[in-house]
Amino acid sequence: MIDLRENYLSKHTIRSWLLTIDHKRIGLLYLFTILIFFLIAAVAAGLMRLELLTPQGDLLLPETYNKMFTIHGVLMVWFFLIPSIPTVLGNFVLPLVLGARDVAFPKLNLLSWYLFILGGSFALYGVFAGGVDTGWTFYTPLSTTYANGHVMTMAAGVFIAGFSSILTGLNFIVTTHKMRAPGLTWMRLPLFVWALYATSLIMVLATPVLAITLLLMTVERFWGVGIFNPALGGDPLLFQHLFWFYSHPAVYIMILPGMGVVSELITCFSRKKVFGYSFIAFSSMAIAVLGFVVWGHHMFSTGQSAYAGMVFSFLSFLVSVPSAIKVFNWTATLYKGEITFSTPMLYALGFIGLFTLGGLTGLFLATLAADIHLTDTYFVVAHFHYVMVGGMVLAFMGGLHYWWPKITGRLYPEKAGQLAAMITFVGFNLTFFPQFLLGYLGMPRRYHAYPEEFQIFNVLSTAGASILAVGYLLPVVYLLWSLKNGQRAGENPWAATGLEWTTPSPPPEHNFDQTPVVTRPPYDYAYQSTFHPREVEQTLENV
Amino acid sequence: MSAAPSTASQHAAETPRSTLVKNAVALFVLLGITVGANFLDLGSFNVVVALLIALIKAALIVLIFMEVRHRSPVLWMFVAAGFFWLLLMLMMTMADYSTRSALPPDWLHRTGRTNHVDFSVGRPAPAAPASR
Amino acid sequence: MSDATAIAATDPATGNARAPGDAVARADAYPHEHQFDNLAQQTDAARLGMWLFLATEVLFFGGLFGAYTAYRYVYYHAFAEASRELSVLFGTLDTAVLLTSSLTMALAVFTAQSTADSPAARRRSGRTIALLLLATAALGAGFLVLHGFEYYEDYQEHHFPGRTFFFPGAESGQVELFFIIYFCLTGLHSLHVLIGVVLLAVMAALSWKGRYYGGYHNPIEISGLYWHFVDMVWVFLFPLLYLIAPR
Repeated sequence: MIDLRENYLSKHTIRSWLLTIDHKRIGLLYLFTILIFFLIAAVAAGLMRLELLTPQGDLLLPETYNKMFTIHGVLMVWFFLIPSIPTVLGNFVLPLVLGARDVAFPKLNLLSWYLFILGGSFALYGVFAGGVDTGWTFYTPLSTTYANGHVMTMAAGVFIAGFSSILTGLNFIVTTHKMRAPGLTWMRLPLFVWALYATSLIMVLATPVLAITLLLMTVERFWGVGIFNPALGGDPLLFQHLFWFYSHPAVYIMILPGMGVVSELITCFSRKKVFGYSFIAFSSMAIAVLGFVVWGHHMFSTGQSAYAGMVFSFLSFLVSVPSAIKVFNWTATLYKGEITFSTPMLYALGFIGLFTLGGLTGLFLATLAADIHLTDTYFVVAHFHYVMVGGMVLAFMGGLHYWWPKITGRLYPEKAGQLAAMITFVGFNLTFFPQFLLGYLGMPRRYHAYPEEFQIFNVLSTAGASILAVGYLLPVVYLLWSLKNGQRAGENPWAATGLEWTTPSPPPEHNFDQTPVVTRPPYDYAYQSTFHPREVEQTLENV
Repeated sequence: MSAAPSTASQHAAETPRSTLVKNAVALFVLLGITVGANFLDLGSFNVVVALLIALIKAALIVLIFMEVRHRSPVLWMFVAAGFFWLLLMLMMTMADYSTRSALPPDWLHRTGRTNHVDFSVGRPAPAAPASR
Repeated sequence: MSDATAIAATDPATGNARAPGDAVARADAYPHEHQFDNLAQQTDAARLGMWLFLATEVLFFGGLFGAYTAYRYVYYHAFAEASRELSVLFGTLDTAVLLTSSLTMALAVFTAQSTADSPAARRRSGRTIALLLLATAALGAGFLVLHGFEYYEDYQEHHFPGRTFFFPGAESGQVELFFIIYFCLTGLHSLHVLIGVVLLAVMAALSWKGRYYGGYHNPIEISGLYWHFVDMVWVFLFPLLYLIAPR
């Protein structure tokens, strides 16, 4: 099984990395970059949790606390969650699963990484030169008139990173349309590709609106004119409309790819054809499209018209239909499957539970009346962390473990992986479940001090955060360890279907020696098992 | 276009030169109409007419100059997508603005709010600048 | 052997010009990039990519159109008043210049598409293409100059938003809002024209020696798409900014 032939990792010079147009290497560049941002944003979160250990504001000044949640929000949203699965796993896997040599525009792909670095540099400069205290939403007139700090630097960073995101989305859409291998019809595409396609659609169509909104905000701040300033005739709600026209669909940028990964993991580790393939595929598209017309639910408690509020509330409920379709189909796939509880599967199962909880609490918030009570409380914080962390981060970790053998050619230690997945799950729930209760009891978000009766839940939450940190750090250790010491993976350690598993691990620079031809429907595990009989267990036992 | 001899190295353009010129002429005629219409008082319909003509002009540019009429359905879809999503944004935003001052009478009664949203807070008119 | 027939084979299942077999490129008249199987696939991908980019541009300008629509609705009369302050003559000239440039651009694409694959024809057409592109760029530059005059006039009439802004009457603030949006929209559009002028100048230099012909003209076509798009944005800006109120 040992395959020592030349692969995409064979060249070692720095130049070969910084000027690469190989999608696999660019994926790894992104992985490295977003982990740095994740680390900084996680430290900010840690400081906030420490502050909230006691009711008094004794660790951080109020301004510092505001800067911490802004840093945490901006970096996590634009520099970790949005790029996470698309740019790392998507970049690495998409051309491989399509049977292509690369994405459609490899140079654009590299440019997109450099734009990301440039945007990230602006954002980091903003962070370290003094920070911003507007929150990640940059609401006007706070951001344009009252906020001190590096608002424009931070906005410039997000603006530039937005273009990186647009280029990635554009690349993925064209790649999916034009680079599929012979025989790989739309209905034979892995569900991860459908999810990436839906995500890319949002990236391409929503991100430019964010760009222009931030530009207008900058114009207002710089020239002192009143585009969104009510004192000068402008309407601050217009900023929120434009901002959420991007930022609500962006929430789906942050979850759809995770759903795609989970669809892969659930089928692979149940050794079963996915239940309701076309429903999962089209529900991704439905979420992408419906996600564009629900943004007003972020503005229920503002001066938005009550009629518009009702329409937005109704449409928000509609989004739950395709989301629920996915959850039901995943559970139906598990039914009577030959389930293996390997690490990626544990993450995937965690995803299903936590996403369901996050999604259902979203319905509370989409209800006009309930939202008036819950707006800007910890209930909202808990809700979106269940979706973003419980959903996207778990899916990212699951996907990273699943494709790790393909990326590095090595297996990670399975027992350590399972342990980390379970620690993450426990730590996550301990961190964020108490926040549902806090929010229900009325604790507002974004305050560094709080009444004493809330302390017990905050202590629980902070304790959970430290467990969560262990769950994040453990994989860093054993994945790095596996680079040198992991068992060699072979081309298909999971006996999975999909074209990426038909080429050596790590893949050669041109991906495939011959253009593959697809003749089977997707996830044909019954057929796959005839020549890969339970290879999974063998690899697991060997660890 | 003159009938080109069908040798292998000959290439035909997708849109003949005469069509391109005719298209430009049509665009200029439309420009004339839209400017002319601006000097008629049609009330609120001035904007409607102007926008309608702009839409026709845009369609001519997209279909003939940008040669979309020779392209695949997939391309048509993405051409339409940009405009469709813009429409979504305008529609849903205007759903708010157009109904903001129109709360149901019953609500007004209960909340004591008036049926009017005052946007008219403007910057106070500054003094006339000194003459140059 | 015509490349047009050689690359026509598409996979019926995917609709793509990819065929089973080895990864070695089939013989094309013009080399294609390594990630593609043939030139047809590359051309299709480039067109689709450009149109996706243009879709993002629609929404990039779209945010401003959204702001325009909302404020136009709320400040109906002030916007009409403000619109009357703009010069229809300038606006018409702007439009005429851009429409003409679109024609020269389309003719450049036409010339490239219909150039035969012989050294003499390619050299001859190369000059024509380059000149047509330069004419397009010159018209674009003319548009920028015209707009510069317009901005200067606006500034002199105290229509530039901010400290120097002045408009008599109670609706001053709302008229200023119109002018903010006017300057943002036209400024952003002019920036696009400027980028287009540079792009077309570069393309003219590239095409001078007959690089583009019937078998390979994609870069000219893609630049054309960009230029026509910029023209199209102006087609909407003109009525929305200059023509919303009868004179």
